[in-house]
Formats: sequence, structure tokens, C-alpha cells
Amino acid sequence: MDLTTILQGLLTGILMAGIYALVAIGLTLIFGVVRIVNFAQGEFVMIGMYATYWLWKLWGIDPYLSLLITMPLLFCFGVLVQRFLFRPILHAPDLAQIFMTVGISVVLMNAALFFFTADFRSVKTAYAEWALRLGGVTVSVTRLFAFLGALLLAGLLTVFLTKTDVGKALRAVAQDREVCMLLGINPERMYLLAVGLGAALAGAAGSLIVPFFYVFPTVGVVFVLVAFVVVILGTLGSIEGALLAALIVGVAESLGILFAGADLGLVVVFAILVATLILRPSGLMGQA
Amino acid sequence: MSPRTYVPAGFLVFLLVLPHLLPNPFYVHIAVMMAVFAVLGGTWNIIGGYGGQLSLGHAAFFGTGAYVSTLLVNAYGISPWITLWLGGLAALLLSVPVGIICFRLQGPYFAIASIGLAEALRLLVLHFRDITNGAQGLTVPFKGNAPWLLQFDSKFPYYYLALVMAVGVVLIVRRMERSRLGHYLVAIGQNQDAAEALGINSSRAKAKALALSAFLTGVAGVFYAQYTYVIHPDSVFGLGLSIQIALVAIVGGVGTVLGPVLGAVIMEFFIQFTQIAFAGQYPGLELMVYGGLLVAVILWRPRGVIPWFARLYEGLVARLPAARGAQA
Amino acid sequence: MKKGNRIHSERFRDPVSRRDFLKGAAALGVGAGLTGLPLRGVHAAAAKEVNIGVLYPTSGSQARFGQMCVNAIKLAVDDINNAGGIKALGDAKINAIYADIQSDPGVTRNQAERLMATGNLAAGTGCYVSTYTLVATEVAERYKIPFVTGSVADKITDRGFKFTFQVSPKASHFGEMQMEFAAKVAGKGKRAAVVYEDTDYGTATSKGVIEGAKKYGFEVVMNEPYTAKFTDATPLVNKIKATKPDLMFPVSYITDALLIIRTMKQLNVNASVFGGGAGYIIPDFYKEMGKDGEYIYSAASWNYDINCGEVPKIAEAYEKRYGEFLMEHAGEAYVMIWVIADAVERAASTDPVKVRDAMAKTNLTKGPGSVMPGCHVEFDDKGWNKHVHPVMLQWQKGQLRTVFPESDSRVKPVWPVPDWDKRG
Repeated sequence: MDLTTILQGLLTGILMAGIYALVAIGLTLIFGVVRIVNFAQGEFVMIGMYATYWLWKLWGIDPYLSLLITMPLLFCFGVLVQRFLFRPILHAPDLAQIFMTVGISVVLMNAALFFFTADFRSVKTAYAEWALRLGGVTVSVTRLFAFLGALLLAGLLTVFLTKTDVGKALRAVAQDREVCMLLGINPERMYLLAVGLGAALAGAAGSLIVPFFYVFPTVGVVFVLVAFVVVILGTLGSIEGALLAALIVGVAESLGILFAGADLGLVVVFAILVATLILRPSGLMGQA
Repeated sequence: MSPRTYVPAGFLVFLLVLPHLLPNPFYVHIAVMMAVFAVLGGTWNIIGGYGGQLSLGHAAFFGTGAYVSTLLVNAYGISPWITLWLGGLAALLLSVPVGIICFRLQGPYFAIASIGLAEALRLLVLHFRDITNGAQGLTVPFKGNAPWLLQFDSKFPYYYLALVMAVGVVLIVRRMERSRLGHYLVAIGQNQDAAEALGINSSRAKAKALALSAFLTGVAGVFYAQYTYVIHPDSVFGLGLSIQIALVAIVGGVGTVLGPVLGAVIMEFFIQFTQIAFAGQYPGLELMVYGGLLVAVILWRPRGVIPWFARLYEGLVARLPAARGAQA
Repeated sequence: MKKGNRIHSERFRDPVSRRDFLKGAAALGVGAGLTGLPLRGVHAAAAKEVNIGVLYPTSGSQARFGQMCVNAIKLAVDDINNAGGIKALGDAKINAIYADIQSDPGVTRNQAERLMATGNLAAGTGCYVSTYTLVATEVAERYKIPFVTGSVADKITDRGFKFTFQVSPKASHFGEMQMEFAAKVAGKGKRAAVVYEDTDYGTATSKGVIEGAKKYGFEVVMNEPYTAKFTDATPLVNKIKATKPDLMFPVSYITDALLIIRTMKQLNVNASVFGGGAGYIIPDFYKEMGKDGEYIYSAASWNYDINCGEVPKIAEAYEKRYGEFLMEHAGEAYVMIWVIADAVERAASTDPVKVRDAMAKTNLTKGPGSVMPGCHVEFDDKGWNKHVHPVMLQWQKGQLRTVFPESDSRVKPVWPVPDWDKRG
């Protein structure tokens, strides 16, 4: 196993980590503010992917351009989900909440299967095969764009949360609901915002990966497990944690494929989960 | 004799003669599948409903039972009547570290870990193909009609075996509900901190519930392997199966004795209807409807469909005369 | 002659009336149980039909392949019926009863049970994927209905079932043939990288490839399964590149086949590709790959240009009707219906046990039922067609041609394969 191969593996892992981060940030945001574990987050990505695909197929819109459509679309979808499906069970036991998101996930996955069939679909772009060759290492342009796009969105989100009033209000609600109400912040609106944003980020992830990923109904399942491990490793509710954890998980998965076997990537991810739960269940950013 | 006694008794008699009333073996097959899901939903309920820990990876225990049993049967020719218990035991042992790791934490950790467990097992079974035959799946050696090897030509013995398991699970759950463990679980479910203040070791209680659930699920896995003759990592460790198991219990009635039975009947009915009516042409339809049912249940009937049926039943029983005999 | 549950088979002829099946079956269940006189003779004596159960995945992950097989079967049924049907039964027509097994073993079990318990079948066929075939044949063996398949896993016939018949080569033979050919064109001592999907097809054939590689003097520099349905081939191809292979032997279904080849081009890996069938030999492959698909080899159990009798005519008729070439398994599906028809003809009965006995004595050297590579269909005592062997195909100028063995091919292979950056 020579250095170039390892470097390539490292690079692939880092690039993929960007996407994992995007999905995980949406998850952790929803949990942090609304305190609901959204098992349907992977399906939000899937919807984003299908939307991107159809926009391309029917009207020839480039996937990166379709971000401008899929993000608002998923935002509205998230708002609707929060308003009609999450709100009634906000104070229900955790179990009921998880059941609800599992139910939503099942419905979305099978609706996609029913309406779009299980066929793998792909988007063909002119730049799909472009790659940068640096020494012995190849960087696919579409993956690079996905990584940069993910970083950009994560950066924008962080700016939003730290510099704007609305963003600060969102973080405040995550910290303490009751106090926020005393301060005149409407938690309901914040919940809608959080779920909308979380869904929009998932949708963005979908659009960004369509140029190099196949679109099929169960594609969300692939992401949900990894995203959850990232969220737990990075501490539930922490965005910086999710970014760091995504990096670790992405690289570990890629190196795992190199060293353990091309069919054991997810097992490596699961091993990280087990290690986290045993050694530091509160995650990287939590108190030990 | 009050109707409360003779109605269930009559129903049990009906279940006993049912296979003889069905026109062909296909319907008996449906009945077997309903019974299997009743078993799976019921055992899931022990940890999911009573224990309050949502498992989305119960296929891990199911598949473990199926694979351990079939491997032993193929390698050493052990009778499946024995590997039935060994498979359950293997699943039980598997559940122990899971419980130790997850139950000391509060939060959705168990749910997530359970998904990971089933997936990891699936990938590992696929990977170690020299032992498990990987993606080709394992077959139970064909012996025709061999009752001592848990293999029958006719479907009837399978049906009765499945019926015994289903009734067994119902009785076990009922017994557990009234036992100390059951009361501990309910207390933990209502307020874990208060229960611990009273001296209940919540981790241990949950671990016991999980072990019981895992054991029974593993046994069901062995039965399934013997009934379908061919097991495959995707079908016995799959996420789809885990979700189906959870759905059966939740839609039927989480934390109730008969809820999962009802849930199993409804689920299997949906599946069969779509597969017969459309010759299996529209995959996703039955699960889409079933998932929608789950969402509807959470929104409007969080206790599942069983309370509604229970009320119907009560209404019926109230109207029936007491049979000749002593009390009413 | 007139069986009680002819009623059921009549209901299956029209897909719409399947909805009535539930109602009717319920009513019949009560009626038959009570009276024991299941509506015998209610229907006017229609010309006798021969029911064949067809179990393929026309939805789910294998839908594309299953659908092509079903298309071929429809053509075969029409061809047989238009030629007069089964003469020994008074020109009885073949009635194919289709069930979609949704690319799922559980559904396969269910649909097999349903068709075999209620469809009044003379025989059954299916299921494309070996795992599903294993399930269906277990059910068929217990219902005592002969089942003909084109699946390849060795285990299918190794079980020695009386009611299982396989027209196709065994999985373990593919690798041997691939290596024999590779040694012929590439010479000895070359470096071979073997990667395969973690599905039953990949697992089954990869073993034969490794053994064949050792037999023909190759150095196996990589022998690795990968997770099917992966979405990024870069880590895998990266690993392949590091082993510096001369030849690559991937076994994949559609999507990974495309991904792997594309990524090989992207990472500039110049090993000659010897695909393991499935994804490499369907129309979609060349449609998606374009020129990048040129020169790629693949093993197969059948091709539309093998040197046997009326194959060109069949291929032409299929292409005319469905607008794309007749691919491997679909061609086999076409052959299998004729094999069944031949058995029914010789049995002069639709009793499945009699059909099975006739099928065991099958010995076809001409006619559409014989056109497997080797041009001779005859089953050994375990139900395997002992004259069949796999063939090697190559994409040449956008067409999929048979290039090996010489007895089956009409063109020569193109070798050596030009590097990526030297192609036009």
C-alpha cells in the first residue's frame, strides 16, 4: 500500500466528509432546537436529490443552479412537517416522537419507490468526468464542488447563528425554552425555522451530490446511519462538533475501505459509534 | 360460563381448526406469516413498548438466530429442535453488550445503535462468505418430510408450531406485565429518575427486557429459517424487516398484550392484498400505506389500534348471554 | 381432465380480475369446504390451456433484467401459440401467468406459493437472481411442479432436486472460461485483479475466477468483494490501481459496472476489463458508456449471435418488437419456454409430474428449445443441461459480439485493448 493510494483515500474521505457534515448539521440543528431526533433526515436528502434530478430531466437545470430551487423547496417542506406533524407531538414522550419520524421516513421512502420506481437515476453533466490530477492523486471536480459547497453553507449558517438576531434567538431557544418565552421570543416560530433550515440543508446536500451519486428511493438510508454517528460523535446539538466529527468519520470510512475491505466501510463507522458510546457518549464537544 | 371465557376459548378452537378450513396451502402460508409477525411484534413490544426503548434493529436478533441455527444444522447435522434454543441463546448473548453500552445513557442512543448493529451484522455476514456463503445465502438441507429435523411436507405442522409460538409470546408478555419486571419497566417509562430514586436499577431492568426480547426473536428467526429453507443476509438482517417489526407493534398497540397480534394481522393483510391485487406490481405501496397508518396512529391514536378493537370486543361480550352454568 | 380449481386459472388470465380473486377465493373456500363439489362443470368446456408460472422481478433493483426476460417470454408464448400450440393436447395454448417478485426473496416465496397452490401450473420458470431461484425451486419441489431456470449458482442443481432444471452454465464455469480465454490472448504470468459485488452472483462466479486464474498461470494481485450499490467507485478503483493489474475481472450489476469503468478512466487505470456478465452485457451499458465501453469483454451464458440454428431469427424478431437487442438472460428465457412446451408435448398432459418426467428426458438438438451455447439441451440426473458452456463476449463498434469459444462465435476478438489516452 503506497503513499499515493493512502493519500487518495484520505482525500476521498475528506471530500465526502463535507456532505456528511451538511446532513448531520441539519440533524443536529433540529435536535438542538426542537429536541426531536429526525430519522427522516436521510429522506429529506433523497427528496432534494429527486427534485434536482427532475429539474434537470424536465427543464435541463444544472444541479448546482437548482440549489436555488431545492433549498427553498425543502425549507417549506420542513416547515410543513414541523407545523403539522411535529407540533402535535412536541410534548409527547420521546418514543412517540421517534416513531413519528420513522413513520415519515417509511412513507417518504416508499412513496418515492412507488412513484419513481427503484431505477437508479443519474444526471449527466458536461463536467461530470473532469478531474484535477495532482501528482498521483486525482480529485474529481464534482466532489470538490460538493465539498466546497458544503463548507460554504456551513459557514453561512454559522454566520447566521452568531451574527443575526434571528440566529441568536434560535440558539437561545436551543438552550432554554422557558427563558426565551419570558424574553418575548416565540418558540413556535423558532421551531419552524429550525426544521425548515434543517430540511433545506439536507436538500442542499442532495443537490450537491447528484452530479456524482445515483438517485434511488433508499439512498437516504445510506446517509442516515452515518449522519447519526457524526451527530453523536460531534455531540447532539453542536454544529462545530458535527463538522469535526464528519471529518473523522469520512476519513475513517475511506481508510477503512482501503485497509479493511471495500465492503466494510459502514462497519468501521459503526465501530466508531460503539467506541463513542463506550468512551465518551456526550461526544467531542460535551462534558466527558 | 361467562362470555369472557368462552369467546376467547372459541376463538382458540377456531384457530386450531383454521388450516383445515382454508381452501389451499397458500392461505395456510399467509396464516403462518401472520403468526410469525405476531411473535416478532410481541417480542419487540417487551423492550420497545414496556421497556420504552425503541429498537430499529431487531432483525439483528432475528438474523442471528436464523444463521446460527442454519450453520449448526449444515455443519453438524444437529436437529433444529435443539438449535431453536441455541439460536435464541446466541441472540440473547448478542443483546448483552448492547444493553450494557446503551442503557446507562438517556436519549436516542439505543435506537441508533440498534440500526447500526443490524447493518453491521448484515455486512459482516456478507463479508465472511467462507463461513456464511455470503450473498448466496444458506439453505437448510432438503430432507422432505422429516419431523425430527423440523421439516415437513405439509404446511399444517408449521402453522401449529407458529401458533404455539404466538400464543406462547402472548402468555409470556402477559405474565411479564404482571411481574415485578413489568412494574419496574412501567415505572421507568413514566419517570426514570423517580424510579431510580425508589431503588429500581433501570439499566438492569431494561437489559433483562432486551435479553428476553432478543431470545424470543432469535427463536422466531430459527423457525423462519426452517420454514423458508433459504436465508439471506438482506432478508433476515435487513433494515426493512426491523422497521416492519416495529410497525406491527406500534400500529397494533405499544405496551399491550394483544396489540402486536392485531398489528400483524393488519400488516400481513395489506401485504397480501397488494401482492395479489396487483400481482406484486407496485412495490412500496403497502409500506407507504402502512407508514401512513403509523403517522396517523401517532397523531390521533398513540395507543394503537387495539383500544378501538378492545371497545368493539367489550361491546360484543356485553351483549352475549352467559352460557348455562354457574356465574355470569 | 376437468379439475376443481380450473376456476382459479381462469381468473388469472385477466389481470384485472385478480381483484376478484380475494372475494372469489373466500366464497369458494366456504363453498368448497362445505359442499365438496367445487363448482365442477359450471364453465363451458373451453379448449385446454397449459399454464406456466412466470416468476421474475419486474420491479425493484433487478427490474430492468426481469422485464427483459418477461418480454422474451411473451414473444416465445406468442410464437408457440401462433405455430399451433401443443398439438398433443389438441392445439392447446400456452397461458403464461406472470407474478412480479419485486427483487425480494420473501416476495418470491409468497408469489411462488400463490402460483403453485392456485395456478394449476404444468410448469414454472424464473427467477433471474440465483437467490430467488433457490427459494422458488424449494417451493416447487414441495408442490411437485417442474421449474426451469437460467440462473447459474452451482447450488441450484447441486441439491439434486427432482423438479429443478437448469439450462444455463454453472457459476463455477464462468471463471474458468474467462481465464482460459484471457490466457489465450494475453499470455501467461499476467497480473489479474478480481473484484466482485457482494451479491450472490458476484460471490458465486468470483470463486471460479480465482481458481481459473491459478490454473492458467495468472498472478492474482487483488481478490476483493465490494458493497453492491456503492455510490463512489473511487476508493475501490484506487485500490485496484495500486495493485498495477494487467487484467481486471469485475462482476457487477448495472450501476456499479458503469461507475467502475468511468472511474477507471478518470484515474487512468489501463487494465483490460473482463466483466462477469450482468451489468456489462445489456443495452444500457453501451448507451451510458458510449465509446468508453468499447473493447470491454464479458462472460455470458448466452448471446444473440451465437452460432446455433435460428438464433439470428429470434434476435431479429425480439429487436423488432422491443427496440433493443435480446440480452443474455432474456434469450435464455425465450429458450426455456420452448423447452417446457417440448416437455408438455411429449408428456401429452398438463399434469406437472408427467411433465417433469418428460422434461428429464429432454434431448433437443434443433428448434428454438435447443439454442443454448453448445446447441444441445439435455439434462443430467441432477437437472443440469450437460452440454452448455459459457461464452466470452466483446463490445465491438457498439455491438456485443461472441468471440470465444470459436465454435460459438462468428467474429474474432480484438486484442490488445488500447490505453485510455490512445483512443479516438
